[in-house]
Amino acid sequence: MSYSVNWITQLVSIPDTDLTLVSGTHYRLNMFTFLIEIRRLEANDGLWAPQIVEHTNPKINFAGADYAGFDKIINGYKIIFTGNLTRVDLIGSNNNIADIFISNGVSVVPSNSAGLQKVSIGSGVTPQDVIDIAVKSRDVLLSTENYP
Amino acid sequence: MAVYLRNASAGSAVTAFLSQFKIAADGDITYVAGADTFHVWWLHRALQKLAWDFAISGDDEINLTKPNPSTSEAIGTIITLKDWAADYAISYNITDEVATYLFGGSVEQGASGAVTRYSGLIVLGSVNTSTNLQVIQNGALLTSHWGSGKNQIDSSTLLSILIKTHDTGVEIDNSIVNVKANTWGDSFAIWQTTLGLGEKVAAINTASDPQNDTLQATVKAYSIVKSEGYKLIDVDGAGDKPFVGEWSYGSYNKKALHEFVKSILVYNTAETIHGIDGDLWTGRLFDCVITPGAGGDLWVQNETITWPGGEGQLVAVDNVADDTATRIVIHLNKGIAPANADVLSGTAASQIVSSTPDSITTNPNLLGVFTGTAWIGATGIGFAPGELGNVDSVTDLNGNVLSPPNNVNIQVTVETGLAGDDPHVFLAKKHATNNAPDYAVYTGTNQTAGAGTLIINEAISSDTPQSGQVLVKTTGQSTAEFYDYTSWAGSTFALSGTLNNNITNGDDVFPAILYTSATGGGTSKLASNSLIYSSDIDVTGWVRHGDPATPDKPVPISGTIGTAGLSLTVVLDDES
Repeated sequence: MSYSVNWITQLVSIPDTDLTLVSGTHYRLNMFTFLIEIRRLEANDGLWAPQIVEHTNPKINFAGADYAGFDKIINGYKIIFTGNLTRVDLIGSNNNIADIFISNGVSVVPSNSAGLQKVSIGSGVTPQDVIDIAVKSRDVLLSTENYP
Repeated sequence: MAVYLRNASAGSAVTAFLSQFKIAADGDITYVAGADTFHVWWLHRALQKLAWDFAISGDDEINLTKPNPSTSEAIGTIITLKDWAADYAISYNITDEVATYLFGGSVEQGASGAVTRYSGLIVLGSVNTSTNLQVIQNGALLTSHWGSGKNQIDSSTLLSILIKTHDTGVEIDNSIVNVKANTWGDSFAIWQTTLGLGEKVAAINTASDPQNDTLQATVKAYSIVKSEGYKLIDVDGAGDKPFVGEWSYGSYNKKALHEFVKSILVYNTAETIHGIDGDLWTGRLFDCVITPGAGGDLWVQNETITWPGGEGQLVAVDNVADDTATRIVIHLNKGIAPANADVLSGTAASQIVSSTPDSITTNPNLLGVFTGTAWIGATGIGFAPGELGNVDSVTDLNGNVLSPPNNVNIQVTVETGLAGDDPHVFLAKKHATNNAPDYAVYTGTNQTAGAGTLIINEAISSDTPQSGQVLVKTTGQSTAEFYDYTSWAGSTFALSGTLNNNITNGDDVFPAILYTSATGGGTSKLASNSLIYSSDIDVTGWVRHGDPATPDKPVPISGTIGTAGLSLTVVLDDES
């Protein structure tokens, strides 16, 4: 692998030679391969520096299915793909690379799956919230607020 | 076996004595058979009984026709066997063997100028466990005929025997003996006494040593190295002070060192200390100021030194060259201590003592007292300064009591999944406000690649590890560069290598407390360092194992280095 990390500017550079060619300028990045290499770098040149990736293990054989893990780029690091490429497919984990990569004409296609999501309906304000807000508003008006 | 005390029944004591020994017509008193022991009074009384008898009986060939065999003084504790060789060809005398059956006083015999004296020695006190007391005379162990005790006439008497102190007119080692108790597991004890007429006391007391509970064979296998000779050691940060030895427990601990040194001095040891058999170590050290000699000769560590009236071992000399040596410490093996103006002579070198030597207060354990956590070092005993803390107390050869700073250990134990794992540990001072390491503790000065030192603009904090790694965010580099340093002083780190790149004034510099692999043979690995504690230090960092074959999740670590240091344990978890 020839990933390089500028630990000062917090930029991870991944060359096309470390990607799997799909066709033409279309490449694929196996996220487990990515994780392995990042971990190696974190424990060597970057031992002093904050961690790059927060990884959540896959959930294997959960109710009859294997659920992919999560890779979250943290601590302000950015990713850049270098070389002659226009598209990179990310496979193997849910990740936030699409949010933090530096766009240099490369399209990043994450394969994140969110078949079941936790969402709030409407405004998300519950009846209890309404009561609490009313009480606080009254206290403020009466100058009797008592914040914890 | 009966013990006939001074107040025993006269009839039975005299009868038993005459049964056990032969008193020949020429005055020779020899052992025949029996295991009873007798107060010296019964030697006198038995002889007087024979000299009162009209007829001889059996192997007792003395009767009223013979001259007076003996006299008694000091309530029967000083017995003198009379010499009538000139007029009667009779000289009453006992043999060394007979003396082993006597106690409670002295027996003197022989003609004037050729007197042989057996002096009484009584050892009082108590011992924790059955102890084979050792008696050292004239630089040698006396052959024991007392085992773990003899003639214990009451609960406070450990031993009561006779010791030959004059032999045919020649005094043996100034009548001095040293009594030692050095049983494994107990505290050690040494007592010197000068014997004479009658009976003299040596006091020996031992107790269980709670810091000496390891099997002796286990301790003897420790890879601790003996430390001997003159050492200059800075134990308190205030400059070098003179010591004898610089003892280090290395990869063990204080208790291990305490036990290791006891294993050198234990009963029946085969080890030596300063060239002396551990059994013969009496701790009689003398600190001599000596006048520089003519030059050309060298003192040799642990060599035997002589002077008028005495012999000893070279324990320490401040310079082996005889034209520059000014101070020498000797262990008195036999005779008397050197005096002012005595000439000390070694194998090659010799120098003159220029003042009355000082007797050094020593400890039977050699190193001093170990409380379980702290040393109270014996005078002049040196320890590796990095292994001392502010709980310890050491005393240099000059008698100055020194208080070491508080060296505390920081250790991170990493439990890995595989014995072959190589976890890397980073730990540094925490940033004042951010929950992160402080990456800008100091700033570097302009320096050129290849330099063997790293110089910063600020003074290095006293609680920086004395050795370890320092990192620099060198301008133009993509990562912080780390350098191993072996020491530091002022604003300078002494590197074990050289700078890889130029450093620009203002580059961030930060020393790590740990920046290393955790090592160990099994799945439990350890990374450690030490520093001098002055106030609490908040630290943070992580453990990472990035082996591509078996990576583990990074684990953050944090804590506070306090007066007892810091110990953290991390369990790595597979990442998949």
